[in-house]
Amino acid sequence: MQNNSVAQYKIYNLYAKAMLNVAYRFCTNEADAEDILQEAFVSAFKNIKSFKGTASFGAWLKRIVINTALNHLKTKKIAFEEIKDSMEPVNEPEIDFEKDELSIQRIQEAMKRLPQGYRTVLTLYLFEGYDHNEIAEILGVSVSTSKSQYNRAKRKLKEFLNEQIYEQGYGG
Amino acid sequence: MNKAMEDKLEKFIRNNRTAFDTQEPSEKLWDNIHFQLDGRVEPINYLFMWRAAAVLLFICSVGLLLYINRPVGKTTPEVATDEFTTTEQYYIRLISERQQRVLAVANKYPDIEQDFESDWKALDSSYKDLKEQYTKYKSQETLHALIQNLQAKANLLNKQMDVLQTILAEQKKNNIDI
Repeated sequence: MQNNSVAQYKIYNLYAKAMLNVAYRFCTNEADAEDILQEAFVSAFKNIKSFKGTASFGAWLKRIVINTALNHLKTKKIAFEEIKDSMEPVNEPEIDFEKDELSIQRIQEAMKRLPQGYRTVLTLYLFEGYDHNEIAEILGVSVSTSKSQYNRAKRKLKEFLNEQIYEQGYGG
Repeated sequence: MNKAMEDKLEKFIRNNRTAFDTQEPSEKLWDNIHFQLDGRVEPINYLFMWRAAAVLLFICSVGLLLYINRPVGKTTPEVATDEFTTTEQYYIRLISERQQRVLAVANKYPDIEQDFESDWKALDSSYKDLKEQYTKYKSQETLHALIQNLQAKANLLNKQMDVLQTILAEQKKNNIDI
């Protein structure tokens, strides 16, 4: 398997797009996302023997992508700046989220505006489906930090979404 | 309201999870990965190539040694010499047969015999030279020249025979006339 290019290519084809988008949500930059993906796949193929089959292969690969992305962010020294966020409830109108391009695009744009630390936690919880125990382990923080960071991140995301609505006249 | 909004946002994202995968990997990405993986196994490839090169060199060396010291090296010229010897023997037999027939008649005509003798001697001496050259250098050109020389001798004898027979025929006529 290690030197089997055909098998590697099949695996790559199966997971490349999903994993690229995982990486992209962390770094919000196409070139960086591809760098991360490349590094992650090379690392995965090199260490394919360490895949024990306890999790699904996709889950194993995703952890490699996420770890690579987090290392990438660290080496790029992107500041995990803390946003001094208002704890008072955000006053926003009810938004009707329909499954259409616009809603997805709006959320993606709002995600990009989030500070790195918020986006990381939000992505892990909301998009990649990890629970707070897992996120705490991945990021090396406490479970309560994961929870509070997530809530703040989500609130911030909604703020950005509401701004879009007021600015661009979306919603009702 | 806030709670409802939260649920909706989370629900929307979770329900439309794959729709958020809007990025497509570029075509060169696999090439890069493949290249990097190949680069990793390069030392193994180098080792294999060195081994292959060593084996190849060994085979070539043995082959070359066998070629240089082959016993066949001597037989090829021998075969040529054998062929020449057979050809030479054939012509020599042919020549001596005709020579005897010519001599049987020619003794009676010393004038004609003289012209023939000088031609014959010229061919003979050149034949000796050629044969000397051939035993030294074994060149194909000399071999051809030798065979041509023998053919010339055979032809010369044929012509001499023709001449003598014409004379004999004329003599017979004269004898009848007389």
